[in-house]
Amino acid sequence: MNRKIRRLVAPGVVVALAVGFVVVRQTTGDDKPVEVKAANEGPRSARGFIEPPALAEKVAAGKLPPIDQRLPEQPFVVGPGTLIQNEYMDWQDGKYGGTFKGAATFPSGWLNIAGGATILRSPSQSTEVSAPNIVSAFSHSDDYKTFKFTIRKGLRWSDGIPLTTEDVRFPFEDMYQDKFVQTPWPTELYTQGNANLGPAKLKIVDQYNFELGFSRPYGSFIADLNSWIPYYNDLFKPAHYLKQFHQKYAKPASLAGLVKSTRRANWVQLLTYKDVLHWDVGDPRALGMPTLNAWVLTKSTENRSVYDRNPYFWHVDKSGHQLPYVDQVVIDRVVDTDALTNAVLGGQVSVASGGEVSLNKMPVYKQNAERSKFRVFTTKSFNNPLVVYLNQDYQYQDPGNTWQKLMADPAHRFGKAIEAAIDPEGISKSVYFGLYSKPGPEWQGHDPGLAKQLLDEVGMNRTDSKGFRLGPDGKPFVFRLTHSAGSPDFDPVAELLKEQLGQVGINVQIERIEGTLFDQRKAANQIMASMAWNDGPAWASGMSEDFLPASKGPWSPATWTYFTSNGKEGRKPPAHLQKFYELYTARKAFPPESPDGKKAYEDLMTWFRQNYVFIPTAGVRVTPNIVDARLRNVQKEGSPYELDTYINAEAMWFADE
Amino acid sequence: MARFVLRRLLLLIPFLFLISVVSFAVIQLPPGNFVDTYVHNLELQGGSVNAGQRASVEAQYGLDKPVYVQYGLWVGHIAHGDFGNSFLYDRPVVDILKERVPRTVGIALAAMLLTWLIAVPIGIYSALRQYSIWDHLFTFISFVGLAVPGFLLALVLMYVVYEKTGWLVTGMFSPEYRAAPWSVAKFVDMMKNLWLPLMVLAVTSAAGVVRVLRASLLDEIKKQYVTTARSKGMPEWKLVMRYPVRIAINPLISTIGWMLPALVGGEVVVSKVLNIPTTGPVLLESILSQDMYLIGALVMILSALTVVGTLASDVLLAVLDPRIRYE
Repeated sequence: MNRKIRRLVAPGVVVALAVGFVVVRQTTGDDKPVEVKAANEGPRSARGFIEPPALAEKVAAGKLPPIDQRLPEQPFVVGPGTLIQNEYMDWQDGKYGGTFKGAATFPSGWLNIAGGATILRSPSQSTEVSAPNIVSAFSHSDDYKTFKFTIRKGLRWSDGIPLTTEDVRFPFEDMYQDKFVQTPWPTELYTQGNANLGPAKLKIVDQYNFELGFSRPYGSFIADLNSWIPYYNDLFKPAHYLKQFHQKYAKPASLAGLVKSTRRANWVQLLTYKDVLHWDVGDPRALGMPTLNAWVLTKSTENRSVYDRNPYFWHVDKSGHQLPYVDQVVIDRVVDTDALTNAVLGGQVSVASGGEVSLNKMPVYKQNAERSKFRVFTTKSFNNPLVVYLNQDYQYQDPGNTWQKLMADPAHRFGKAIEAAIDPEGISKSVYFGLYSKPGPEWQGHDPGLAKQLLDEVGMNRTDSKGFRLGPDGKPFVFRLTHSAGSPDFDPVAELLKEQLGQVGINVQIERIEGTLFDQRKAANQIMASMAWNDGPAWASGMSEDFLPASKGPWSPATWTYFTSNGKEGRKPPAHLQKFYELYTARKAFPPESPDGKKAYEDLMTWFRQNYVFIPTAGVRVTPNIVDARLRNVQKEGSPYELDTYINAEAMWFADE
Repeated sequence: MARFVLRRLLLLIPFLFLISVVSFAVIQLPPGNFVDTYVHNLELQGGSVNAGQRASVEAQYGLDKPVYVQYGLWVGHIAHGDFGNSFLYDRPVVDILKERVPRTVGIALAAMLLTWLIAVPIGIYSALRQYSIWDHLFTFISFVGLAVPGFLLALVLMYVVYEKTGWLVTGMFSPEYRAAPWSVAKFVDMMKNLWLPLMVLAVTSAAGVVRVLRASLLDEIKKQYVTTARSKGMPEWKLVMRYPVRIAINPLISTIGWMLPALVGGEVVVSKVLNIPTTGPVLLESILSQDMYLIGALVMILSALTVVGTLASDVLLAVLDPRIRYE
């Protein structure tokens, strides 16, 4: 049955992709945005800024202070190369107006509305430039143990209250260290991200200056300060707003009333509920919470979230516009990803990327682009293609079993054989229009002969009646590959892997399970081998660390437990895995994109390649991006990252057409 | 009759209690809880959660307490008319139902009406003109209707309409009307979007109704009282409508019992395909993400409606058909 399906699937995929390939090829034509000179919009203020027309009425009515009083003394100036590197985007100062339309399957809507309000700023997903963003000055000690910050003077929350060191003191003293609240420390604020080394020590100097101290060198903290992943809300929280939910500051009667009206059990739960992190910025509970983002949630109903421009947003362009250019963001909720695709095809979405689109739908995107007035182009991605993980800890309590013996082989011949058996170009051709190519020259590459020889060497040289290799112990050996439902490419790639590994005699059993069940199996160390994608392209900048042993796919979850619990639980890493923890810890001392950091990263990657804990199935991911045809300040075709994280959403603007 | 209704209503109370226990147990059956879903989604978006943060989220949702305590809290709140908060939507379950149930009932009632408008005349015609060319044609069409799943019909129609007219049905309203207050233009827009799902729902269920009505009417027409009435010179049309059709319609009445929960539960698959915000997709989604208070409330309400609906159809049958007696 399975075999039959495979035979049917393969030619079907090939035909579909051949069609798609032709279409994709046509897209690579140059869609350079037209040069549009920004119109002279309205009079300039004394400081030289242009009041956004959307706010003019409120200002005239006296409900909002004029722009000069809303912006900090020195606003953060955005220009060519600030948000996206020059080579990947042609910057043009824009004009005000328009609405971003979006569709989302999850209630909190467009997560990455958050975008650019990080403490430091480097273009795109890099962390090297580290220009002061929320802060106006930033420095660190030579040993990366002390970090000094000066808050941008006159920078205000979206409700007009100035940002001060009180907004740093509040989370540290009244949340993380409050004996009732005990908000857990965010990983980034632990020294080297390691809970065993203790959290940061805060020293408030005055209203605008503060220092953070760590017990060990923690250069990689600089990457976190640049990153949209921890974002600003680990360090800055709107104290003036959250105090009304804190016992220490609120009147007991009003606090009790709020607990009741929000249906929380007590004030601690209320405070936790009202402290909305950027992941949940579209939840109804975020209504009323001041932010430092470009847009602020103003309406959240069951099927729609509306964000309006933050009148106090502190980024400006060189011609005097206050960012964002686009006045409003409207996200409509859709029931599933197919409905999302329909919304895209119907032209009801201004920007779609990342998980909202998929390469195999490229032909339909192209078919509808003209009719629905959107533009499709491809970029590289924040994510790797699918990766096969070999769990070094699977059944580690029984060191004598076959899998443990294979994993403990100092030469890692089993992993090497898997790598040699996989044909990345075949996978790329069959599933990805040939756009993913093959992994770099640092990998040995496709060589079934070598795979067979290596498997013979590890003792898997006998076969059963069906031609599958027996384990070194002479018993049937099943390579169980587990994966979650994931995106549309999971199933065809799994089937191809089964076929390719089958050709060198490995009996592969594919196990497809629900995402949450996958996580539970992962946590319980019940996965032998798995398949998942990860954020590989974003590792070098320190933006993501999902190479960790229990991240996307588990490759050593038990030793990771040992590491994070300081040896109280889990598996003591055997020698070859111990080396990983040493390299990982060593890298934490330096900023990832400093010379020392780059070397530490190279060492880490070399370790990965030599130890075969995970193996790529294709080269570099290429992903479609869809934007409204009128949208400007959008990354170019072939950029290293997709629009997924909308790091420059504040800078996009609609040209007239 | 009043006693009969009262007794049935009183029986509802222990029955609902049993349902609450069973549904809560069923919600707890799959491994993990809502926090797993939350963490999984967060990781997919690029975030990560450490052990302390995870425990804090569990405490936030009250999932750190033993199951029986969670059940006690839930039932205690329901007794006060409070179904709790949906984790997924971050709003009270009651609010979600308030938004979705009227919409769902409206669509389902309209679909039912359309079904009967199509099916009843066809069923009667087919039975009266058995083996005529039209009967064969309708029979053929209704078999096809029975065999084609609703979602497939929805997909095909959606595609055809889009290809021919450029009009893509992507929900109940076009985006520009989603937030607008009710107006004539909004209603027109809704009908533009809604005729397709209504037609899909009506066509697929009409097929079954035609078959049932035709069969039971054929049985009735052959009975002696019909022959007698005809021999006494009663006009054919009046005769058929007054007696056999009234009896033949009984099987339809008895299905009202199941129709009531279906009205509120909504059509999951068609709603998903056509992106209509009814209760169907919410039920599915809440189960997938283990949003336990939302599932609990929906299961409770649907079960209660099944019981009430069965009672209603029993009473209706007794009213319409004098042969049926209580006890």
